[in-house]
Amino acid sequence: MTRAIVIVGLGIAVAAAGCGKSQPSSTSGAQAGDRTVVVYSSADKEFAEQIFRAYEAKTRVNVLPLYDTEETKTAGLTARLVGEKDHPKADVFWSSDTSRAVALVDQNVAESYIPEGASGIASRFRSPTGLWTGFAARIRVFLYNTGRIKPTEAPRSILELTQARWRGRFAFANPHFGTMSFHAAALFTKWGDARATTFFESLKANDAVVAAGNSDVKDRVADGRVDIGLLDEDDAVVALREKKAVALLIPDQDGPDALGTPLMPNAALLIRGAPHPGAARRFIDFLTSEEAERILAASDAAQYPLHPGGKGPELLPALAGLRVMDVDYAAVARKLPTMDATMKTIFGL
Amino acid sequence: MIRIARPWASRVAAVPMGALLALLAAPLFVLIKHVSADRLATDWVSFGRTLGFALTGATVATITGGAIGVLLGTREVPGRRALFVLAVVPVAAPPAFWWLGATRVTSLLGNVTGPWAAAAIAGFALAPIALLLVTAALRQLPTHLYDAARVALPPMTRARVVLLPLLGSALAGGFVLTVILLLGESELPFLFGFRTVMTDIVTTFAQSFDIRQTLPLVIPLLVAILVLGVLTARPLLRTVLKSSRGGRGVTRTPGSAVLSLCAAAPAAGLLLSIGGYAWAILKALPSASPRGLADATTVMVSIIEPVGCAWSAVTLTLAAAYPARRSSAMPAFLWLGLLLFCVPAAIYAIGWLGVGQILGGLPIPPIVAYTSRAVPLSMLGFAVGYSRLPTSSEDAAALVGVSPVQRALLFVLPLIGWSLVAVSALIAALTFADRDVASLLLPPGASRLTLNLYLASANAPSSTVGILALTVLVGAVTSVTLAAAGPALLWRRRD
Repeated sequence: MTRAIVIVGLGIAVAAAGCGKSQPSSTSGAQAGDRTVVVYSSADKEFAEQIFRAYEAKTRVNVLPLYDTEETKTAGLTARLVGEKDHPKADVFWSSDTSRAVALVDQNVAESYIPEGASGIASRFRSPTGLWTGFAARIRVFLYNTGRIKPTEAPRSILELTQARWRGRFAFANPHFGTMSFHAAALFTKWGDARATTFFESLKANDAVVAAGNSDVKDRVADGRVDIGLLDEDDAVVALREKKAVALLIPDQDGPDALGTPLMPNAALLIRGAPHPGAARRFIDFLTSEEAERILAASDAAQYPLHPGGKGPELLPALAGLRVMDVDYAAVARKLPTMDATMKTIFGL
Repeated sequence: MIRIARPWASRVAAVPMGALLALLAAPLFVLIKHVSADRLATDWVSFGRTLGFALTGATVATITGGAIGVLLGTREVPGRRALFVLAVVPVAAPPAFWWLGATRVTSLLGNVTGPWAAAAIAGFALAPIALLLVTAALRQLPTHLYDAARVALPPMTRARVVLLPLLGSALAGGFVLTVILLLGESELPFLFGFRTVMTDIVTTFAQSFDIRQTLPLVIPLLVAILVLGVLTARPLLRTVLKSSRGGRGVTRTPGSAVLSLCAAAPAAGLLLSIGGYAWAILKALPSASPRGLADATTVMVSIIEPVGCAWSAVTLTLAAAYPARRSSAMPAFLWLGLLLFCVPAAIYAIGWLGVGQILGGLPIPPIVAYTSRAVPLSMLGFAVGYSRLPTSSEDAAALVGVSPVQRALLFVLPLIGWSLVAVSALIAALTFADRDVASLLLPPGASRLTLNLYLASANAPSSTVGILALTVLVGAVTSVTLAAAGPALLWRRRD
């Protein structure tokens, strides 16, 4: 009997321990609310932590984060934001891509807030009503294996990947997820459905290798399993810093009609009904500030500041000198279902 | 077979079990309001491939786990205990974990694609489910019956005529549990580049975050899983509840080192995978460092939570199922429990999230969602063990002048201890490997080792992923060991 009681007691104790480091109650008073901000983040944990630490050091406000990432093909946090809509637990959502932000805005999860320094960020990188604000962006790049391809031979445009000489030699990530889905949807938005479909059918016919994620693309190029990969610049920078036999090239830059490379900002959302609205607004001010962008540019995240004049990542050319694909971010987000259905048909994924 | 008590006593005894099952099903009722029959749709190509993948994987798992279980359970081969531990370890992490480790040894493995390869990997990784159940069943076989078969029958005939029928329930149980787990698997299909219903669900949801858009895909899969549960429940429960009873296990006869080598096959795969992660760390030395990758609280809670979940599930099951063990409703409860276990953990978590919202934003700890799915599993373990208990033992125990609770703890539960050990280990392993419930229900600021590994694998250097992977592995093994040790230590002396 005693043992049974001990077991039950332990079960209860563990259940309590399972709660871990929990947030203070939203009704625990303004003072506690001012010292805490709950941030759900789909940005990579190792990069997001640098921002959280900097903010905590600067303000002594306790950041309580929860992480998820599009690379792992889960949507736990976004499902949670939608599920918690009636009684929100989060104050801020830091989305690693604008598509996710727009989808959440469509779900009526966000509240309007225009951050202090947002006027410095171009209007196309933010919602006109302040429902999301873009900051620190990534671009899409080619990473090629220098043991297999000379710099002069490397393709200059994604269109070249349909040529016979690249048959079976290139890889990109699963187009249903993350930045590759953004890239594909951007092409559908830019070209129209028919042309984009033909392009991806040509890639399939040219034996495109579809990798599990951008990190997998990087590994395949570094290992020499494929000669060239289309991926995010932060993954490419990791390979360069690990001294792999690879080089980076920014596609679609040459010529007056060049397509340009997609520029993909992070996005900050204030959650509707946030438990700590004041702290949330101040955190968003910091997240979208030049200071936060500087941290992200200097780290392995290698992200481009969107504030004018911000110093870009060390291993990449300045943003001002790049041709960027001109797209409406909300339109790209709403193109995702069409693109997704087409990709299922073409790639069988 | 379950003994039926008098009708009124039977009905009263069934109340706690019925109430527990109703509570477990509560989060699912919350989701039903989103279902609209006119929007249901599924892709039959994905559906067929999903079934093919799950059935093939489960077949591989059952054959592999069953064969190793029989080998290690009936022969005293060199290093038997160590080989058993190594053969069980794969259940402590998801199949993708082992595969990703192996691909770090040789990148060529990363080019392997297709559902059959994925099914083979899943089969080997989930083989411990059948292995655990077969081992538990072997410990309860009638000793004299099997010894007589040894004397009278050649090995193959003995296996076909005696062993397989006696282990039928364990093998069937392992097969069904593995099918259910694989129907909800999405990581391996993504890694091996093919579509299943689950990948369709994930891709649809990842773009809309709208549960109403996703449910038309979820419901047919759920219905398929439940139909499978219904189809298999009757024969499974029949074999589980009517199998042999009263045995003290097979006497192991000496076996050669060659047999040890056969049983070492899973260990070889295990070493390949662990070697892959370790190699990534070695290549990065001396810069690779474990500092800052996981704090002590995360490590502790990651280990303790699955243990707590396993013990809570077993305790709740015993508290509710033991009084109802002779109830006429027990077969129906088991049937219902099996169906509840069929529901994927993420769906439970979304349901519990909904329950919390209805209760005014009440935070639901992850352990609640874990336990609610684990209770049906431990019910099955209880039923397997209890069904083999000789009627005479319990009747004899009733003559001893002790309270019913003491009788249960002193005489009845020790005899089914090994079944409870097996389910406790399995529950801890499934809980430790989870990331869906964690990302949906963890309190802000909290983290778990497995979730951290997934997050790191997105962008962190290989050495960081390697260190975290090995930490996860040590944590998982510790957690499974502690979970199994609870019921094992409690009833060891009385076994």
